[in-house]
Amino acid sequence: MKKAARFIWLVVALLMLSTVVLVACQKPQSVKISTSSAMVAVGKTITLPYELTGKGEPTWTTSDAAVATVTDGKVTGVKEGTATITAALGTAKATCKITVIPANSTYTDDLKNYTNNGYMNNTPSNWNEMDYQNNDDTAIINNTTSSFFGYDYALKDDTKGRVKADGTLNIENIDFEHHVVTYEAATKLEDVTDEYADAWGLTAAQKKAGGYVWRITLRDDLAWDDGTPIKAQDFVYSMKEQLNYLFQPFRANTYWSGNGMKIHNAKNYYYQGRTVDIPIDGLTIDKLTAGTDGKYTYNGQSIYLALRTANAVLDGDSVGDYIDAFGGEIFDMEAWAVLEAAMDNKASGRAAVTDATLEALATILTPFGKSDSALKFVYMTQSFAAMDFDEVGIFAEDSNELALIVVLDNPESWIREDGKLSYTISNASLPLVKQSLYESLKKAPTQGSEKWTTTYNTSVETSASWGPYKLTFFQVDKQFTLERNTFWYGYAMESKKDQYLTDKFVVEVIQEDNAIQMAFWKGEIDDITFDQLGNAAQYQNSDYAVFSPDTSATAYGIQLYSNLSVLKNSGKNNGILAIRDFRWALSLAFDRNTFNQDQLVGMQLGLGLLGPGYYYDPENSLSYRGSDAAKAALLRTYGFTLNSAGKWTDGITVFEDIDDATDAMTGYNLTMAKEKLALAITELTNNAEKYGYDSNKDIVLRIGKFNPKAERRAELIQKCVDDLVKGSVLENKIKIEVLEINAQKSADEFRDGKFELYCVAGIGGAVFYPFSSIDSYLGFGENSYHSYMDTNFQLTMNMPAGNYACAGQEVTLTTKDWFYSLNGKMSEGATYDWSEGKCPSEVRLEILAMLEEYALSQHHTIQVANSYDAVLMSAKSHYITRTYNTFMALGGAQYMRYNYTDEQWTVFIAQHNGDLSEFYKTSSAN
Amino acid sequence: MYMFKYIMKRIGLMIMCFVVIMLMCFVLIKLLPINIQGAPGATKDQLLFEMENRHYITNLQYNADGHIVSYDTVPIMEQLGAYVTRIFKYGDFGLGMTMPAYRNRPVLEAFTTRLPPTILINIYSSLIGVPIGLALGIYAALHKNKWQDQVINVIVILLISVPSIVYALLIMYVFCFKLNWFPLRMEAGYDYFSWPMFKSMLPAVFSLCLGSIAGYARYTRAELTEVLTSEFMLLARTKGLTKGQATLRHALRNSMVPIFPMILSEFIAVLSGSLIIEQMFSIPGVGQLYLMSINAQDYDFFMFLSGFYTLVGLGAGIITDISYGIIDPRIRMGAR
Repeated sequence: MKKAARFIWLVVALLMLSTVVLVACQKPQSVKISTSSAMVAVGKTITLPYELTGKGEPTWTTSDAAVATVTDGKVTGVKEGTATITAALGTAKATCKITVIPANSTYTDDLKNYTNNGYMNNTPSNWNEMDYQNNDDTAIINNTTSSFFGYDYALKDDTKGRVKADGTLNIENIDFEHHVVTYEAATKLEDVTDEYADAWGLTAAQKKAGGYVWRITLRDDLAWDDGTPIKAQDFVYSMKEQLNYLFQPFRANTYWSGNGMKIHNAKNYYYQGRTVDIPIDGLTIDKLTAGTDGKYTYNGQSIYLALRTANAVLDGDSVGDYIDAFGGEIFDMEAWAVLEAAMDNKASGRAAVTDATLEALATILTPFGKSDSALKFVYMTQSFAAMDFDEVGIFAEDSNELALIVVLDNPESWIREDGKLSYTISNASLPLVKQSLYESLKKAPTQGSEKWTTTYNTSVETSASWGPYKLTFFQVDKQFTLERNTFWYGYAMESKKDQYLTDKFVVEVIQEDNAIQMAFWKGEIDDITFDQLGNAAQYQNSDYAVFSPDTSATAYGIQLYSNLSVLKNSGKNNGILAIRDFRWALSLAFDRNTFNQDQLVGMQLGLGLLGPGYYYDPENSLSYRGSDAAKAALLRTYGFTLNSAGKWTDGITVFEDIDDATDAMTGYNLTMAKEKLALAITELTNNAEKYGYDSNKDIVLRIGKFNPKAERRAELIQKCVDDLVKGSVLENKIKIEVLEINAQKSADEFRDGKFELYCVAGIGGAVFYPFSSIDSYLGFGENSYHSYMDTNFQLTMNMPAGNYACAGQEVTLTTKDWFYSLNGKMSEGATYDWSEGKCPSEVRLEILAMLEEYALSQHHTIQVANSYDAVLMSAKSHYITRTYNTFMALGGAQYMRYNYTDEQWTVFIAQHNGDLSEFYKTSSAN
Repeated sequence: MYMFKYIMKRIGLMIMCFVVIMLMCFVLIKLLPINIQGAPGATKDQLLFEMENRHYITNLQYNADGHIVSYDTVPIMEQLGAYVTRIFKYGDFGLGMTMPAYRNRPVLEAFTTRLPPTILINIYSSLIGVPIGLALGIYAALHKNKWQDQVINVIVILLISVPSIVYALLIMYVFCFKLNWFPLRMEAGYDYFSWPMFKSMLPAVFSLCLGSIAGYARYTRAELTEVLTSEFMLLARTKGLTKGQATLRHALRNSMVPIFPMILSEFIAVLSGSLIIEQMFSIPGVGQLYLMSINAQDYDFFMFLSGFYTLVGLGAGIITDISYGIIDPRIRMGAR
């Protein structure tokens, strides 16, 4: 009996086991919806993509049928709101959150969720376009506003189009090096000076010249993020508020002074009915009349220098404030004493305007680099008559509610001769606020004050957006979130299809570098600057490192002090530095790659005086450094020559084209360096008297220490110098020492010759105008490190044929004259006028390249690097191109491509165990 | 009865103490020769207008140019009078002046939005720290001089010597990054009682409570060992109580006398000392606000926050003293 029972138990057990096995071996059912959230417009339908494993079809249900209904994975929007769609297959479930947006929304969901996670140090405080005060605020402003006109990439072939028939971007047809100016929120721009000249009192000459009155026609589908339409009148209202004196908005004066458009009567309306003391716009010294007592007046009115009044030149502080704060440390107190003597009352800060005081003020402004802005401190009491807003040069046309007319005081040339928009169109932008919201947020002043305040655009409830994204969450000093503005006109534009892929921006406040790093390795934030990476050098060659020239366009180099009269008496036996061949040898023997990797992580090798961001012809996107003339100038400086076949060679290899030669150029050529050294030694020993050279003593070159890296840099330079002089008479005789200096005044001390190597220093400039910054390298600009250079050196050039002064002739001028003529500075004594418009840009390019080559040939500096912004990007997304374009950067958020959706990214991180630090070191260069 | 009188007396004294402290804060800070700087870009004039509203300065001289050239400072006692009147009459603790994020926002509102995270972190820290600390101390005391005791002593010394900032970094690296048990930063949002929010606060809470745990453990062990060797414990054992019963019912209660007040004072210390932790874990709390207001020289914020911390400290003092009476019947305040 027992045996039978046991047998039965065995059978039962086997049966149970087999059932379990059978059931387990069947594939488990699961269902997964590829996107966890989606948007659908009222009345429209979307199909949710889903994956199934196992047998059967999922059943679809909706949590709220009044908002959205679902049949077989097709979701239809019924009414605005949110609902959750569930797909159930057996016991498995998947959900998707559906947001139903209004029927007239412009946005169609691509059913892929992409979130960009960023970080900041502080949250923005005030993103009101009319009033914002620091750069943090632009993080929100840039995404929640649009503009009338903008820039976009040019196309290689205009017939093929930017977007393919299937709605994806035609990347092969995009020309990343060139830009076009596009119509954004505006559809038409017309110069209507003729029509309105008489009504607005323009002279006949102005009417003929044109460019004073413009009609901007807006798109008909502009709307706020709640659907309220935007018309021309809204811009008129916004300008009225921008010029509302009661609020004293920070940016009001940009509409009558500064670089933007100068709206007629803007200043007069702002100050209407008041008597105020303000700076005189556009003042030049010849407009002032000198009185018998040496004091200047303006049109008979008395003026003064306002030294204790907040001034825009000093970003809202006054000269007096700075003097009180820093005193003799930074400023020339003798000059300040001169100014104080000219004041009747020291507390008032008003000094008489005389030559002496103007000069003293210029001296005081030198540490700011603004010594030519002394005239911006001249104030005058001005009375303004009461004025109606109708007299201000901005209004909506009666006949067309989408047409905005602006009347300007300075003509603009926004339309080129060929009818296309000029790159200067970025001036044509106006602020916009939402009238209903703005009115409700006005706060009357508290007693005693005159100033009204507003909390517009300081939190989610007080924000309105007309840009591609809107603010949906804001917690001070913690986080803010931007999500799609489904009413933005751009989402319906054909030319913007397959762009603006980011659905959400989440920006967190993370202040600790360690926390930022850990968040990046964990995949929680999508980019990190090299400054915040602990061991940035290890990521220098990573595939994910992105380098873009920074906007200061600074080119860094080791400045070599070469003024013989000072070197001779330095007591360090270093007169050899005055010999050009020696400096040339140093430059050729310097290992820039090692130095940059060690000291300037993130910066890229730069051998020229002008960095890669400069354009010599911004209208046509022509980069200076990318031009053949500039490339040739560099090649010749660093020892390359053209062989008989017209190909560039460095003496060893022959390069097919100029780009190959440029890429191969490292600035290092030890053979040539030793040749130059031999020549220098000969010169030195034959003229020991002249250079104050004592062959028994060491030659000492001193590095000025203005940061803790000086010792390491001295080490690196010493190594290169030792390699250079090995085997020569000077072997082991050249020593690099570190000299302690006043770090605040390092530049001035170098200019005075207190030390010989300024490592590293550079000069930047305006990227659209490289012609004006070359003076610092020729020895006479205000930032020049080598003002002892001979500015009367004659350079000769064969002017190319063309339609300008001296075309086709051979011209010889001093370097100073070449520079002034290039910039058309007739008042400084230029012989010719080759400024923009008077001379073809290709000719100006040749002149600039010649000047750069000359400056480089003096070898007063060993150029090492160009300033770049170095960022490590996460694997989630990548910029559409690595080619930097000053107008479009690397494509920005508009063109960003994503490699993973949010859901896929979570999986990716899990695959790497939540630590991507090793993964980002992968480099295809290895 | 005596207790009641005692409490009343103590509260009265506390109010006096509070007033004196706030007076000193107000007057001494006002006496400092600081130049008020505006936030970047804010015109000096605007700032001076606002200060005039608060009756800090008066007699602004315009000199017909729209710009303020000079002003007189109101006597400090008058300023104080205006400040106190405003608080009691309008409930207005002032407006932010110099910090860009809080310009023209009421101080009270900014404070109440930022207070919850700080309070929560401190409460959780105490809630977690006290039981663990006490448990460790009791365990060590019960196994005195055995290896368990030595291990706990080492841990305690380590935790006390190393500052909480170092722990914060270690915890962040080990538990949040490598092991992925907690998020790296506190969640954003205002829903403070959800599970994800609680989980995200835990690393900060642990960093804060480690130091306190060490303190509690050490004191508990010391007190308990002393009490365990006293004679009444022998009596309890001979009476028939088990070791556990004797420890819990008698020894512990006696040793709590110095411990309990310590708990309250640790609470205060943690409240003010969490500044760095808040910065590391991106907690939008009050500590950071206090430091920012000092750096930006924003008087209203500074006064309010100082008042808050002072009040908390004084209140804790009273509660500590009163709690003595509850725990130890021998100590009854106000008794003849």
